[in-house]
Amino acid sequence: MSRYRGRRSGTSPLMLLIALVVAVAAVVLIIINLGKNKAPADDADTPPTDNVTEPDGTGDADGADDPAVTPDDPAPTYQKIELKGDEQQYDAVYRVGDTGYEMYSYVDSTAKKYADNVNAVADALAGKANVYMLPIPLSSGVSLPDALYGKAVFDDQKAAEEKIIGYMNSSVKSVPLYDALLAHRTEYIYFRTDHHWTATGAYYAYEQFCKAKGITPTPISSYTVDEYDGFLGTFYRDSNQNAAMGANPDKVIAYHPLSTEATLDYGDGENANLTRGKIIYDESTAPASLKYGAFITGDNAYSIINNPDVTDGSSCIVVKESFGNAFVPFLTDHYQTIYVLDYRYWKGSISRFAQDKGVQDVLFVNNLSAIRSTALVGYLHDVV
Amino acid sequence: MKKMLAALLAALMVLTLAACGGGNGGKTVDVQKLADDLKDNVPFSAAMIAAAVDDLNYKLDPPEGTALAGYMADGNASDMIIVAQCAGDEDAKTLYANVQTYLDDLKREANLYQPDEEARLDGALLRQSGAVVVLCVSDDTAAATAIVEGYLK
Repeated sequence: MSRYRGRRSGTSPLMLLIALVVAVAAVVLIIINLGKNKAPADDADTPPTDNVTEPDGTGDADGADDPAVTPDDPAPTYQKIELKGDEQQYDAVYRVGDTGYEMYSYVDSTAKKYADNVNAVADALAGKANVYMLPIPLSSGVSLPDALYGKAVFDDQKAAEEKIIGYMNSSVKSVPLYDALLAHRTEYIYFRTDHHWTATGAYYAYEQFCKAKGITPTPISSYTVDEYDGFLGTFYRDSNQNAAMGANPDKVIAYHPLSTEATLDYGDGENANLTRGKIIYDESTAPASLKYGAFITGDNAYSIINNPDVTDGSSCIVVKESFGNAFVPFLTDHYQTIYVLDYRYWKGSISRFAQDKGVQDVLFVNNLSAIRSTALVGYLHDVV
Repeated sequence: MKKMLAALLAALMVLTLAACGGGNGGKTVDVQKLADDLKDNVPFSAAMIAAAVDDLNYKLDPPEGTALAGYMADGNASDMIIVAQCAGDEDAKTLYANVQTYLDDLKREANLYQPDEEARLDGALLRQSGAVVVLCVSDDTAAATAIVEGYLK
């Protein structure tokens, strides 16, 4: 017993010293690890905060120096959107009253990869075809109530657009859309119960594309319009069929191409058996959740639109996910042939396909949520 | 003086053990063999096609020195096998996080367009043990788990 006590008594300072050394080392390690963990948040994955669009709708102060804004654009002014209704956050959806918004975080590493893919196609087609890139902002970046801008679950999409465009090489014709959509933010340019934009929103993007390409857009008033009521999309489902949304469904407004002779066929690829579809498909009797399928008969790996009213041999490829569906119909009157490739399902090489078909233009029409997705950018990489 | 030296050595030992902690006893796996085993013995909803290592590297950004093998579904199903042997436990944690992000992105996409696939992704096997990371999206996660655990024993 005394021996035990004696040993304890004799080694106590030693143990204290060990404990002290370990404690100090542990603190040092913790500090080092904290630094390591903090590093990604400090790197370019987080958009710069000094570019945040002013929530009062006046736009960013340095817009005139912004490469995404052409010098002849006047300083834009935007309508305010007030915060009305109760708020609730679901998994990836934020609801305000009867309107859902996709939560968005910019991922710089994925944006760079996306740009690498677009750049690779542009490099392969240099001197042979024009490559356009249209990054589509989400409703959470455009029509979000002003009071919610700056909230942690909504990264600045104007800054994201600038970063993405900044990663494109000089052979890519980038078409910024953020300001153009923000200028119309109080119009019906995004669905409330679904994550997509409306055809009206897509029309404003089409106007910007025409400006970049140097062609005249068809006036929106020239189109024949169909409307399909009762659309309840993904936000409605993800908000557990919120009653406010259910009581006020969306309306799908579709603009028919001027040409009544243009046809659309779709399938898994150009060598597969193709099925005749419609550029604007009548969804008036479709289930409430499927009415966005009105545009180019929904998501198909491969679609081809032939317009016999255009006979100049013009052709283009649209590389898209579902946001592109509402955009494609507006191109119909400008090209003799349009190839629509949904890179999530299509197999092949965009560069090779473009050269085989001798197209003049390749359009990447991709939404910001897709451009932050490792999965979708991985799919795109597979078909570059 | 000897006691001081002993104390410092003891402290160093503690720190070394702490730095190496959490491993699976240095267990390594033959990534191709395990991937093949999963492909041959777990039911999948689609034919499985060998994934190019370059493609896996592109999608997952593994730390340097990681050996990868995998299979992807032929078509639009989300079935996949990814087996990775990292250089160390910390690398495996990094890769695990990358695979989780990839899986989450697939789930978000499936949620929008393929709700049935979202459920399968939710039930996928994602396992890290020591320096080994395995992802298996299949029709039978229990069968996949049993095979993987056999390799990790």
